[in-house]
Amino acid sequence: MTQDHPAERYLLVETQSGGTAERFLADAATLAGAGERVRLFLAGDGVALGIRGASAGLPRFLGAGGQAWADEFTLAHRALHAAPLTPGVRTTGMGEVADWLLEPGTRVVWH
Amino acid sequence: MAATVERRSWDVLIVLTAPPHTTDALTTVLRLTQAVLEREQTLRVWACGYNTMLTQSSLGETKPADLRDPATPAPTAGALIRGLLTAYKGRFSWIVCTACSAERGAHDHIPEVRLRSDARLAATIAAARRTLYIGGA
Amino acid sequence: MAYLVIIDRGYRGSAEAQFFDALYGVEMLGDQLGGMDVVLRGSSVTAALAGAGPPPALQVGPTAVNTLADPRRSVGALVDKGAAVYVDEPGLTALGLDDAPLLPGVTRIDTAHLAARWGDYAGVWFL
Repeated sequence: MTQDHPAERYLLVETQSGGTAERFLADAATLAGAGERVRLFLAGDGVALGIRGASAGLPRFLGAGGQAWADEFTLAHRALHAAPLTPGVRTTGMGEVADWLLEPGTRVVWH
Repeated sequence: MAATVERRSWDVLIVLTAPPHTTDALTTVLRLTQAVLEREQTLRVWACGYNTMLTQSSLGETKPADLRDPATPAPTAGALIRGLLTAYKGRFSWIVCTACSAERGAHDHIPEVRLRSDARLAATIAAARRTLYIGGA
Repeated sequence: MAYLVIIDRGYRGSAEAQFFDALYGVEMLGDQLGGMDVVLRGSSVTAALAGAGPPPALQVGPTAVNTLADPRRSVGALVDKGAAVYVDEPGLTALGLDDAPLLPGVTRIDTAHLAARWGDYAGVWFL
């Protein structure tokens, strides 16, 4: 891949759960399927999507090549460390999210 | 009057419209702001909607007491914002949208924040290298 | 006659509301209203979990915010004062927490079944 112009990459932030969040995950899967580099960060109510079996759209997004992380602060705040995460979902903190945000060519879409 | 031209570029602009006291949107924004500023970057928040009420002087520095533990003061959101503005002076700015403020009768803001008309939103976005828009108003 | 309050959404502004969450409101107002029994659903079911520890630290600039709500402490206090606290079994299942230990005094139940007893209460409030 040429470094002449950095490829765009997406940082998607999901803070909700439920029907509209599943639509956002479908957006994410479309982006990933088109070959975009897509990082999805689940925070606030959005961490519930990362629980194993909770979302139909998240495994599809991961299968399309997307990457997903659940917010460690939210998991701790909501006493969700015992909850099983969907295979492929990692956890991270806001420091790494800031690093991704600051990478050149990153587009952020926040739901 | 000629349109104002932003001379300075900011690394990040967050446009925050989701109301406080409803979800953890403000909490997440403050945490991300902290992380970005710790990386020596510059960041502005454009506060819309009911977020314009957070920086009113009338709210003071401490919340009404937790009756279970009245000796432990809890900082207001305005105090938290003021703390960031003081600690990261020159690299962090909190802008209050005057249209949203007027709509809600949110007057007399703490002096550390900037007041801007929504007519300047486009210029503010143009002055940022990247903009995060947080909806939900 | 007591009230039945149902909390199906938590975390409504941790940085700005801090300790003043829905459960704090129940602690403060329940006695005034003749008592409040509590149903925990949705994102609030984890308020019933045992062994969770205190809320994480929230650092905002120079300020360490150590006054965040502690829902589990509130549930313990409500149980101690005699309130019935029910946690929604389907809600726990949705979070993969079927086997998670609960705080003493909390009842795990499909809380929809409680609707058959709504008539026993002076009012049923979704907070």
